[in-house]
Amino acid sequence: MNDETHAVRVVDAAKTFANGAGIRDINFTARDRSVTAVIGPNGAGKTVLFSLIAGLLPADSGRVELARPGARVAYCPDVPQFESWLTAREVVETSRAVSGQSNRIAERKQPTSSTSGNGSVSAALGMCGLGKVMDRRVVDFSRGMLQRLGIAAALVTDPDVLILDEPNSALDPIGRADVRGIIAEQKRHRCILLSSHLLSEVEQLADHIVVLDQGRVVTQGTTEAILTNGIQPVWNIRLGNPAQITALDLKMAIPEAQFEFISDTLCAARFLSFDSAATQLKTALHLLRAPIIEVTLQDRDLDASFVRIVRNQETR
Amino acid sequence: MRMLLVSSRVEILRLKRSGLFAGLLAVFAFFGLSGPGLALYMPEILGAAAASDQLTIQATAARPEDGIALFNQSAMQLGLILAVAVAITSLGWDTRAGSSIFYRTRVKQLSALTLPRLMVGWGTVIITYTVGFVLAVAMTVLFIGEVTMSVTASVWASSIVYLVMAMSIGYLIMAATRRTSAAIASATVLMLVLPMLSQFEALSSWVPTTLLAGAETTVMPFLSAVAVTVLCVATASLIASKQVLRRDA
Repeated sequence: MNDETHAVRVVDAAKTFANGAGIRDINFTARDRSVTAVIGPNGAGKTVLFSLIAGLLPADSGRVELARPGARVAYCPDVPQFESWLTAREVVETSRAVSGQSNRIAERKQPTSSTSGNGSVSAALGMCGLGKVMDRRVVDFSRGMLQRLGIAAALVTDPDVLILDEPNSALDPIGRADVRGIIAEQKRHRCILLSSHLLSEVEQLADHIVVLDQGRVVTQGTTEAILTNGIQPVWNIRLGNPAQITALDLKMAIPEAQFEFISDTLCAARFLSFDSAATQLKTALHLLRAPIIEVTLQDRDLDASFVRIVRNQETR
Repeated sequence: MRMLLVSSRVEILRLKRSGLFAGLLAVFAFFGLSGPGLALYMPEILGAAAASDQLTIQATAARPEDGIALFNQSAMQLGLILAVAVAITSLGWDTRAGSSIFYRTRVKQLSALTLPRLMVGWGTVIITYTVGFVLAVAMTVLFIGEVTMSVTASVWASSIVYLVMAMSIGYLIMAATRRTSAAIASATVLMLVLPMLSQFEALSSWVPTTLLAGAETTVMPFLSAVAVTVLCVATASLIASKQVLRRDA
């Protein structure tokens, strides 16, 4: 990772609470103009880590480095709460005003469009799908609307680092798609730190993933690396006719791989790694000597990778 | 300056939309209207309540000071507790993690956010108390008799200073506990207990609670009330600057 483009660097950070919970030995770097996802089971320490980065909690040891002094960090918690007598517009206006943002926007005069400049309260609310309800009081908002408002209130401050703690946990599918679009757009302008239990969303959005478990970083890397790390890929091979070879014969031909016929025309082939599969799958397809209808990779998603990584960690 | 204006605006909206301003105004206005009336009809009320063959109560006719005193007694009990609640709830945002994060990630010097809100609370209480006080004076003048300017000014000033001090104490308790119910409960108990200090002769010449006597106060209780106010606000600001996000909020 190129350190010159880092937006946040966490170095040996630790924070332990009286009940023993907390985080230890956290090291990672989040790049500017990218999405870094922090994923982990409940209680893994994601929110504590975000609170440290946002300056809400002091670290017991280690440090959080921002790319430049005075870099602005906006933190949108999983359950945003606002003063309920304010309207959505007033919340976002207050957010901008208390963070001293209007001057900064005026000084910088960013050439980017309304979707990134966020100088306009209405633009931020509109971007988050709250344009029609901006004059309604927050007390009447659903949790999903509050999450959208939390994002609008964060974006209007034009942060260098935007922390989104489970931003779509209360959203319906349309809302999730909207937020996905916002994140995809916003990562062009700033560093986004994201946590979510909806790993399919993370898989689509994140460039880099940090896996936390029991307060420690279990693994980290690019999304592709996390998806393929340590996996023994399994391909389902659907045939047009029954195969002319048994699983045992296949195994003898390719000893590192394992084969299982689920039916006459469906074979599951497991390889040691994606690298070995690259050559051995081709050989297996040839040996099957039957028309190939479909070859699909089984379980190559972040959910499966995450479960595997965390379970491996627990059995150590 | 920006923070002062923004915080003040949010607090004004809170007091207006939550009904606290209307509540304060109603309470003080009610006592302003009822205090002098109560003083005027006190002989009849007492006579009716205690009339029997064995017991007869004869009360003297109401004096103008009685109208003001009865207003102030009521205002400085229920009104005082309401005023303290206004100060305490101005920090209510810090009791919930979500709203605490909203401000704590945006504002570097927290007192720049909280002090203007307290000051708006002071202003609101001063205005609403004054409305009640003016009503009490007007009712007294109309139905009982002329009040002297010095007595009126002394009662008004004493009460205002005491209300501001009580609100600052509540604000300090809230800043330290960050629990609304606990702060209101302990502040209420404190407000009920504090007046007892005036019963001690050694203290009575300077403790702020002497201000509750209104017309008969000297300058010392004023000064000590101002000192307590400054101390509470400074301590609360110091506490707020040291605090981090409440994990159990």
